[in-house]
Amino acid sequence: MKRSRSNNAAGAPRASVALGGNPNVGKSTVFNALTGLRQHTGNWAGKTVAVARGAYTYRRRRYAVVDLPGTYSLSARSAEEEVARDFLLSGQADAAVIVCDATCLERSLRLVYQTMALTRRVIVCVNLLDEARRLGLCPDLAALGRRLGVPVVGMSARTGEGVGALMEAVRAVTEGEIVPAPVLPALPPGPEDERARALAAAAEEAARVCLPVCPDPSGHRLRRRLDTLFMGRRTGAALMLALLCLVFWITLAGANVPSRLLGTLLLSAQEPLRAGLAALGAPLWLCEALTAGVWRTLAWVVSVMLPPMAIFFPLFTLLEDFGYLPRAAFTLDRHFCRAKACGKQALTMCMGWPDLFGGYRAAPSTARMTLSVHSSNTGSGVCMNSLAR
Amino acid sequence: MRSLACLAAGECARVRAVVSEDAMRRRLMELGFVEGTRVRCALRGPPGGPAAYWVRGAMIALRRADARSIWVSADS
Repeated sequence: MKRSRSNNAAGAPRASVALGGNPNVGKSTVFNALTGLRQHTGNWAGKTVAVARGAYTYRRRRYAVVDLPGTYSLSARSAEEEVARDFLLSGQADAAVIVCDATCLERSLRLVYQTMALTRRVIVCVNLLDEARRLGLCPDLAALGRRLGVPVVGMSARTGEGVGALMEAVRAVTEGEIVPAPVLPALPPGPEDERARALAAAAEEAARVCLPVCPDPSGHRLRRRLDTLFMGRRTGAALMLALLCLVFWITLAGANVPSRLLGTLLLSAQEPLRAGLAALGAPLWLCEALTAGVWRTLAWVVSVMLPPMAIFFPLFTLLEDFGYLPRAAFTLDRHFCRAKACGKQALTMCMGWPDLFGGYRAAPSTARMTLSVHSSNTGSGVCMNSLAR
Repeated sequence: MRSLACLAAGECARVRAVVSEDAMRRRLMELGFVEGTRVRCALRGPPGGPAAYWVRGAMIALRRADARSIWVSADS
């Protein structure tokens, strides 16, 4: 509290807000809803653990938002956890917003408890309320707030519901209007097992306070059927191939026409450019280097690469939103396991594919693809522990 | 007692112990596999591949080798 007060006294216009949470709880959507920044963060192995930053203004005050990597815990065993933990411990954040999944509250609350042990200024943001309602859940956020001792805000970041309330809560906490008083479970000092059990029990209890009646999400029939289909022994791999082929076909077929148009358009500017340069009195070698060299190459690269990427990545995002990617990782893991990698890396590879297409069309090069495989971390056994959505 | 890997799809059990090496054990416990927790095998994936389990309201996929390190007993 001291920090934010002294900030105010000095008239400092900025407050810093850390955004944490489990992977796949819509943390990036919350980040985008707050900052208005279209920004993609994923937790697939191989992506650099870099924290994304953004900012927003609320009631004439600037708030810098730091999007921490999604983690299940803060015990600093992976690079992501270390980054998240160090940032929270460094005291740089005037408030820590922990994004929770309303449909899987208990797991999120374990991270909330861990965060509250590191810093007091915690705000709990229960996201995906719309999805919870669809499942027939209606979380009692006020009760959860009383139980945790920190502000709790409900949200559906996708529709924008609750964004204002979150900004208001952040303002109140950073300005010291609300002083969170986290209620931490008594964790026994003994062996780690005991503590893990106590933490799990506390999270379970808090989740029950919030959702007294919690229908088993596994009971959702359509979802169960789809899962059986997309992750099944026989159908999983076939469906994945079919889906990927479809995505690639749309990408390739759809990119042809805009590629040609873009190419013609850009290359048609070459002659006027040369004439213009000549008119300016540029020497011949410079004219040639700039037009036949720089411009021509640029035109080729843009016309070949841009359309497939503009089609492939939105399609991929769509698959991600449907929650298909972890399921594909599940299906593929066995094969990647043999290469001492994990199924999640298939997605890193997929993300490199449009470049590969471009490569095939212009000059064969698979550099990016191998790069993404090499830079991926290996070893972690629990690979696809984010199937909840 | 048997290991989690022996569970058939749809079968329920209760976690008794996690016996893998330290880092993995802590990871599994963080994911909710602590003693007394009820788990259900949601799906068995492709042969030799991972399987998905419902644990504490979340679906978690575990490789066979990791599932073998979790001991469970019949859910009464």
